[in-house]
Amino acid sequence: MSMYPPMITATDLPQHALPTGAPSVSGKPQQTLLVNGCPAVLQASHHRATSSLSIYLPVPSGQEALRALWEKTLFSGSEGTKRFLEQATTRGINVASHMSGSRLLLNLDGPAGQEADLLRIAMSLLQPAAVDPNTFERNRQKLIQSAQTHLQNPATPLSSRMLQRLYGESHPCARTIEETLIDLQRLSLADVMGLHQQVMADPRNIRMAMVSALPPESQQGILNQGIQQSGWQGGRFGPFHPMNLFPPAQHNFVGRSEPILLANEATERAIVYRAWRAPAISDPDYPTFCVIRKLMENSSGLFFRRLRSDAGLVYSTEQQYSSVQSAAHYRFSAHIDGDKLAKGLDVLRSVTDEMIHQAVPASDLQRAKKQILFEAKIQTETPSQVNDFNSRWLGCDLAPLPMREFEALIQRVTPQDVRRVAARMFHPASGFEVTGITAPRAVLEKLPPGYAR
Amino acid sequence: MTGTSGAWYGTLPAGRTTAIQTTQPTAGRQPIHLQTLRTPAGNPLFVYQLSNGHRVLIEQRPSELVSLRTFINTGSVNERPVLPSRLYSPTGLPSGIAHLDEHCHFLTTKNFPQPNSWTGALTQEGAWYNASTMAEMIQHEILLTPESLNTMIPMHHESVLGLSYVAPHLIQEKRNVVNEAREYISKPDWQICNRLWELLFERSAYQNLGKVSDVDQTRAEDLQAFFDMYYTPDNMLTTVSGNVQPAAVAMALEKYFGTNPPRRPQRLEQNLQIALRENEVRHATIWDPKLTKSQVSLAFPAPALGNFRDRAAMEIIANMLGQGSSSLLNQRLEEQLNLATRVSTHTSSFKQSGIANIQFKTEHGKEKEALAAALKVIQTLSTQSVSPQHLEETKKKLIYGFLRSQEISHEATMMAGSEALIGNLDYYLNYVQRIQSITPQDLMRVAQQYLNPRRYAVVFGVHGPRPTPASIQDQTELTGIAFRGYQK
Repeated sequence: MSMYPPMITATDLPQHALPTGAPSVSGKPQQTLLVNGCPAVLQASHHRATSSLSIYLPVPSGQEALRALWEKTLFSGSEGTKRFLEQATTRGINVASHMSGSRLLLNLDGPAGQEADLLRIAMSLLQPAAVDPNTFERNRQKLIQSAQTHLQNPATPLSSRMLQRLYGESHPCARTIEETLIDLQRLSLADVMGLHQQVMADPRNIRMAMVSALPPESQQGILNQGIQQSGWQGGRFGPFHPMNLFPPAQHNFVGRSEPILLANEATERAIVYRAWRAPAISDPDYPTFCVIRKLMENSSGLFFRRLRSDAGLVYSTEQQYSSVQSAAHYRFSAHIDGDKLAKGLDVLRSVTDEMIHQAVPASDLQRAKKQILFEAKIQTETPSQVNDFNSRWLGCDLAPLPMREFEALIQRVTPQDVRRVAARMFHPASGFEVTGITAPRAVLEKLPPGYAR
Repeated sequence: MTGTSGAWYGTLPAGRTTAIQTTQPTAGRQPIHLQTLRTPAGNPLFVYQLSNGHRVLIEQRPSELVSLRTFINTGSVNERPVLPSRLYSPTGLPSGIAHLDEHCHFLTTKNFPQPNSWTGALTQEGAWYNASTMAEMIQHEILLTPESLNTMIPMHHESVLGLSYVAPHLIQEKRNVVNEAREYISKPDWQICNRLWELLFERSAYQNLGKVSDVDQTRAEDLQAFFDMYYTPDNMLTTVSGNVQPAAVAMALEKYFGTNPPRRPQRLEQNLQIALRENEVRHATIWDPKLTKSQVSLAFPAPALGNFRDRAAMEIIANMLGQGSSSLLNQRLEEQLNLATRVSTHTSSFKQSGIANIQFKTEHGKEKEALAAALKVIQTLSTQSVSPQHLEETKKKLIYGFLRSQEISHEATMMAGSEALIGNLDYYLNYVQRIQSITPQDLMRVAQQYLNPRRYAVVFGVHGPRPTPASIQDQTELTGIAFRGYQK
């Protein structure tokens, strides 16, 4: 039974308050190979105003410094590149980049009708650029400063230590900022250009995705023509050797790791992290995990209800999911007063215990599913957002799911699935959990047995 | 434009927008269709007024989402000042009441008397809700699918107008408000922003959060009085954007929101004011161990909402100065002088004032040198005409950025509603033309008028230990936590 009263009904509302029925649904993502062998995903959109192009570049595992220097070089390797990008913005074309799974993702979006220009700009960025060594050095110094700033955040060492526990110390996902800093000081322009040439040498290592009002066949024609004009040809390569991407977690520990407690006198409230290994995007349990997240997060979720509404311990909580190929984890974080820390940890435990031991009410399950599907709509309102939505799969070298298939997978999740996957993640006999706390020493010393050093 | 009674949306310049349909007002409890305009995205925008005076804008667009948003023309500016100032009446409502009231709209309602059951029912339908309280405006939004509109209009009404203030449940929300305040107040960026507001407007940016003692002492009757004063039909506006039938939506809004009785209670109606006198520079320093680099944040007065030409020029100036790697401040401070990083600018307009904010990070010890260099760059806009090419490129960037934002339904309702709330849609509907019409002479005039190097406020955020309590002057009893040290 729902804990909520019945919905207000508006039976006497005029029926014409219903939608007009104007078409508003995007097409399916369609996979194809471009003329140079680069795999592409093309999708038609009802949006008439803008179009979007994404390019996924492979990044060798554990090479965060190399990736960062490469990204800087692509976007600001010379004054000419910067001017070129500024010029693009005056035509309404935005260029941005971020990591998606194991890939560096270049996103370009602009007014409809400029699809060929999007590719032309992307190709210009990806052509072996005349990189100015002085600019490279300045970019390196900026990245070093940024890493040093990051290191001063009290949450940074906590996060690094937790990733080492979750993945094993030698796993690429567990590389620390300190290690990245050493790499940043060591790497040369030649190293970066070497990576660039390696990536560009075989278009089969790259993925492209376009969302536009044009039909996929037209998009393909535009991309093929642009590729031919740029001279970025394929077909003359030998056997395909995929680049070394991320391996799965290197250990299969189960249980609850010793808590990581880091004293920091500058923190006013305790920073609490708790993380679990989670199903990766490629895992068949991923749709169920999506449902579990919704049951725990948001204003109606268990974290929020137990910690904020019931206990009044926090105003907000944060949750983060990371899936890099088959390595994935889920992390909760919150800031809690030192004198309420023990209670907060108990409440957190009660939430995961509830997920394992209690059947999820049908109404809660239904709400979680609706929220996932509604958020998917919010996340796919524009072509650029559609590309971003698809990146969760493409960044892990998977084909994006058509929205209807994603919806069907979510709808098929049962209460039994929820308990099974919750147990897989949260039960000490099958999951792996790490708790990390940064707080003043006096707060850490008062922690109850099981947490205190 | 066809003249109608109650043309609250102001006068639009001829030829810039197209009225595609006009109906005559109907007597009785019917929504009055005043006019149909076109949004900058090219969609029809239907303008209605409910029988009680409540205003409605409905944009019809092919989207899978509907944004349903109601604005209330008040905010924390009508509360008792957290920071005493001659610019604002000391007789206002308790500090923090507008924000606490906003929280209460999601707590208990007449048909959802259990705490949080309204939010539970709403999310059960897969919809999403949000609200915010600002100095001069409060807004409540539901984002939904077109199919659930019939259910969500009464739900929205329930939360906006059908709430009930139940004393025991208020404790929960007061606790949440205080926790929210504590999260904000611990962030150095927020402290710097707050101090800047205090210098420029003599109004704390933390006013919304209120003093802990005021929040604690606010009673259900106080909240009801606040609601009765400001949630009046003439003081409210609803905007809708999505794949909907406007006439039907207007009818549904009439059925629910049209029942709110018209009234004109006595109420305080204040606006943010610029506190700087002529040729006055105000400055302050904040220390915080969380700041890894020094931060310089300066603010000039900026044009008010209704000053369309100057607003457009100021948007262009802000973009030229600090948005993008080739902006003037980036080029000078970051690339040439290596004095600053993360340069950013933004401008906001309010009913009678505005703020043009410029901020950047710098090394400790170089704060004043960086500020002087920034002021020199800013001053060139007052003395030198920008090149036509630079101006044209900046206009295009702004226009494309604006049109891109209009692709998203909830951005459209926010922008249209916040402009219409002051009674004039001109800037929203004619944004592209407004930007295009700006000349190099406009830029120079506006820079001279507002970006005066002898009239601004600046806050330096510096890494360092917090001063001991004894050294903290003019401390505000805000949320029970002392600000990091100020030094005037």
